Amino acid sequence: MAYRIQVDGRDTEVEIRARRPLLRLRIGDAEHTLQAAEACGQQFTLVLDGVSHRGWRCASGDDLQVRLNGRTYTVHLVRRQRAAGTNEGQEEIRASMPGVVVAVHASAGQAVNTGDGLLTLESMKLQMTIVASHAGVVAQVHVVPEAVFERGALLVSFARQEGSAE
Amino acid sequence: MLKRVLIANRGEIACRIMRTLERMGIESVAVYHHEDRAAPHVRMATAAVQLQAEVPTAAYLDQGQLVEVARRSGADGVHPGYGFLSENAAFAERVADAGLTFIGPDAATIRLMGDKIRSRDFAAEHGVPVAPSVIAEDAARFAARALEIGFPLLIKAAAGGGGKGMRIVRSAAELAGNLATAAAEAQRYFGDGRIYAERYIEQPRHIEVQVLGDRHGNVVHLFERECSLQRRYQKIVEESPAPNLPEQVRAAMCAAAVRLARAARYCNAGTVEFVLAADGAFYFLEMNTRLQVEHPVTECVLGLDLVAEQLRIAAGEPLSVRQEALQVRGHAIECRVCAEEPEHDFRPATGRIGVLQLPQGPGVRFDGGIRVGQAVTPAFDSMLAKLVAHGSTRAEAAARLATALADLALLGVPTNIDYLRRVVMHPQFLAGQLHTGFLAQHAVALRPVESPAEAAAAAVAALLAEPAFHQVAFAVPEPYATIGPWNN
Amino acid sequence: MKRLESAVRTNSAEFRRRYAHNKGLAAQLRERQQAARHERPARDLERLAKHGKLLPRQRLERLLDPGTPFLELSSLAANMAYGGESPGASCLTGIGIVSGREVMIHADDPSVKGGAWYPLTIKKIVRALDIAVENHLPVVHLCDSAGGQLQLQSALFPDRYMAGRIFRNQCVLSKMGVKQLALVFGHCTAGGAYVPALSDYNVIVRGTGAVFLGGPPLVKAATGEIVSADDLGGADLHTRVSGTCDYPAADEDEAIAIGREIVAQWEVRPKWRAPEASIEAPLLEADDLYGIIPDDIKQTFEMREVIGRIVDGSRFHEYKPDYGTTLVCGYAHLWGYRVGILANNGILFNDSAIKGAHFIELCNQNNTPLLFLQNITGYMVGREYEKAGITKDGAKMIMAQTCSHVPKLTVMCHGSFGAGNYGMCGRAFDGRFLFGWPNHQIAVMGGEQAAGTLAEVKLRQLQRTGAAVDEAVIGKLRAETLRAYEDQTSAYYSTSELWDDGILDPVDTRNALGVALSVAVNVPQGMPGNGVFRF
Repeated sequence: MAYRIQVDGRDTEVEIRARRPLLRLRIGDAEHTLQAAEACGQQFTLVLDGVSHRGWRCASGDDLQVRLNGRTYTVHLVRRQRAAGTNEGQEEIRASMPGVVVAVHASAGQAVNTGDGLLTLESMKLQMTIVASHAGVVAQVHVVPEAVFERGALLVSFARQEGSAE
Repeated sequence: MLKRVLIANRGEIACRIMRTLERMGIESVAVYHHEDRAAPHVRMATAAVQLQAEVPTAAYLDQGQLVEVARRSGADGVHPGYGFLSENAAFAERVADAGLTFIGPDAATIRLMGDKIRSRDFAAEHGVPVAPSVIAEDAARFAARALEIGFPLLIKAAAGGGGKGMRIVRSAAELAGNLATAAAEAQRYFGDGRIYAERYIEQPRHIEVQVLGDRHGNVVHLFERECSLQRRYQKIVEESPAPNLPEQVRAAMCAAAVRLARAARYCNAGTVEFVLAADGAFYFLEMNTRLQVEHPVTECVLGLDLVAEQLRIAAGEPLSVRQEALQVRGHAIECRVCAEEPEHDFRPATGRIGVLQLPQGPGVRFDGGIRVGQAVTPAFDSMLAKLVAHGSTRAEAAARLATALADLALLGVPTNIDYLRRVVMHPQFLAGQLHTGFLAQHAVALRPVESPAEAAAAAVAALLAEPAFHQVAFAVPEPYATIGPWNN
Repeated sequence: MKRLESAVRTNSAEFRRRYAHNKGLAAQLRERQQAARHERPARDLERLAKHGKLLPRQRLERLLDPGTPFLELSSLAANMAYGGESPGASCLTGIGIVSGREVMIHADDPSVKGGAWYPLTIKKIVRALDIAVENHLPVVHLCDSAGGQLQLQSALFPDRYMAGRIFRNQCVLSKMGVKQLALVFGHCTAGGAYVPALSDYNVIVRGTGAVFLGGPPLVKAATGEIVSADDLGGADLHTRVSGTCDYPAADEDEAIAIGREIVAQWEVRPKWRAPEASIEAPLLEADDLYGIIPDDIKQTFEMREVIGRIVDGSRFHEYKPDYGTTLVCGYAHLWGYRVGILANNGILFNDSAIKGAHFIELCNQNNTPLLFLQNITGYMVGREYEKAGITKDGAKMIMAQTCSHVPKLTVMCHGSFGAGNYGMCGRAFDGRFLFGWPNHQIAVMGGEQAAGTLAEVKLRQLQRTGAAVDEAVIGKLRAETLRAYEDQTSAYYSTSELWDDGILDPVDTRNALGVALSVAVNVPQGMPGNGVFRF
């Protein structure tokens, strides 16, 4: 398994070649040996190929900013796994239980982002907001406030995305 | 003297003003929008009051609310900082009408200098050189006058400030089309379709003179600042004194600035901006009736506190300094640390500040109003802080600034820190060969230099911070770790 | 501990001859492995690529921690069965590291007849799961199989160690708290559907993964219902509605990433034994083994030369060096773990058998795993030895060995004939792992001895009935027996039938034993104690 990363937007591959006597990595076309690595909070020290580096690092989203010798590098780790809870490919939202519509927050044709509230529903004395699981365009909202629906009822459908699967 | 001052601003300037207030034993009242509820300026103030507004910037522009808050909080003065309402005559008036002291010039002065055309005429009347120019009254006459001035020609909205809507016309053929667009833009942005045109100066320098005037008729200048390094028509590196400036030009500029301020009966801190041509000719651009972002470089070389001077003037006290006593000591350079991506046309960036380590060392000053954990959103200006270095010579100041920039760790949001470091280390910068096109001219040389070994170290540092990688690298048990990538 | 000194003369004619011979055998092994692993009909490869599917070894490569070893088991299973149409017995098993944890991998091979299970496929999977049960080794199943080969059902369905055993072992593992994860890349049909269903965790790939008791063809035949594989048992159905599967994945890469994260959540249980020394590479060169192993099955060789090329620092503490010298016994460290080694240096006599039994008892008392290095033609036969009780002395060794509570590993270094195989922990004796070298042979006796014995029996029979002795008949019997033995005693036949856990290139022995031992020391083998020794 090789890790895919981008350093300042440049694609490169990282592979672990050996762990003993020292960690040896292939980064792009070059092999590197890590002699030491220490971290204290966001400050780190590492010795790579006999050269000592001290700096700071900070995560921002999937990126990591690394400040090294008075220069900041942005390292992006290409993840093979989607963030938890994303649900691509879901083109419609159906009711997971019977209930009543309290409020409708979206309308047909509206572009929504992940996490945007679409509907507020009430069931068993509990209100819950249905949010968009992915960015897209609402094709139709199939319910109106105070509408009563059954389990499995179609609530919101999304427009098919250009370039989506299949 | 004032007892309690409300600061109608946020960020680094609010913090900077509070530092002076604290030193002078004056209480401070901070105002803030919900988005800024945990910002340093809120924590630093004696008291803080939340402003109600949907849009964050609208909160700091809500004159009625600000005056009301100032009155209710027991403030006797209002400092507008820079930006927001700092050059708004109506606000200055409302503050005064509420019986409070506006820490800045009178509304009338603000109004005069806020009008491009009136201020220019005023300057010309008082012997301050202005570039040959024309203002559109009707399109046909305008075109004829413009042709008289000659090309290249700079045209912009008469009511506009900064760089918005500025365009350069290099030939008569381009004139008509540009005029139409500029007029439309001026109407759209400023609600005033009048167009202004002047001689465009090639490779101009942007030099400004700081002045102070009090209620007793005293006016002094605090020498000049070089502000030529600009991107997107906004300054990012400023210094004092201006390098390679002939002494007689400096003297003439300072004298012109004092003349203008005196004529306007200028009371408080202000800045007269000039454009300087390669031949030493300089022309009045505008007068800023407020504290400038780049005021710290003047403070450094003169050993003054401009905010303290502002407060004294506002309180009716005479200036604490006489012109003859003012002497420039050494050199100071400031750079503006912004959340932006220089490699992508300086587009503003957002994020959350995760690391903030300030540089130390002699002559280094950091004016910030940020803290770890703070979100940097598109709601406000992208400037996060200012880093200033003072040295006995320009070379020393530049070297100290380069080191300070290297030592400054501000992570979590993309910034221009590394870009600024490359700027202040550029040979042409060190040679003082500055003009407003400097950054564009040296764009290629100012790109980061590839350093594969360092990039590899950065990659390793990043990977080691990733728990999954760390585990894979170090948690493999024996004998597997020693055997390594073997299979039978 | 003393270092073993080598007496090998690497420039001798014998060394060079043996070296060429054994190096050739190793090359042949590599070639056969290469073919079994990678040679597939282009049509099958294209079909997999079209569905966005990775090959089992690509899946494995992405699943394992980078830069870690993988001990593949029985890579040449079924190499002499089914006319060679089931390379590797159509599946891949082995031990590797996922998220820092040692796990057993079982991967179906959809590039061979849709991953359908042959009888030997099932034997291989059952063996992998037996290893998991015996060694408390978590399992990751990479599922992609069309189900059992229906034409061969009688050889894969009904008996105790056939298909059902896979599922029985899965249940046993789960009850023991040994975790299992199934990544469903392709179809899991019929019994195969229980692999993910009986796994503690499973992940299914949207679009290509499917789990069902009856696939679309069976459903159509049974009820007439026409349904697509995805609607019948796809990711959405199983992760949203039926709950048969736990995690949906957009593609194989994501499934593997989720799988790695699941494994990262698993507790790491303490091992029964920990290393007692730091790891030290052998001083003697493993490559010399090629010149040490004889090129004739009838020749013996100095086993200390082998020991010195396997154990840490080539250090060996020999037990009773001057008694029963045809069995070398002693302690050494292997990858830091102490082991007790029994190695054949000739025929087992009464004294060597008694010494072996005693040393096995010492290792049990000392909680030291056992390593058997076999090169044995058997216990000595003949009146004198029977009189001295060779059978009961051999029985002592078999009893002590069988009743050991310490884990046992066996390497077939050359010959493995007759009852010597029993005493030296042959396949029947529940050693944790058993590997063979390419030169090794195994049979109840040598081919020539068998041919001679059968000819002798036939001759006596003819003489008893007074029939004429037809030399041609006797000769034919002798030749047929010899040929059958030649075929069925080879290392390749042995491994084809899964009588071992794979053939090792001799130079790989130390690494393979490292992985095997690390796994074996997870748990002891039941409680200490013996049956009744015959004195």
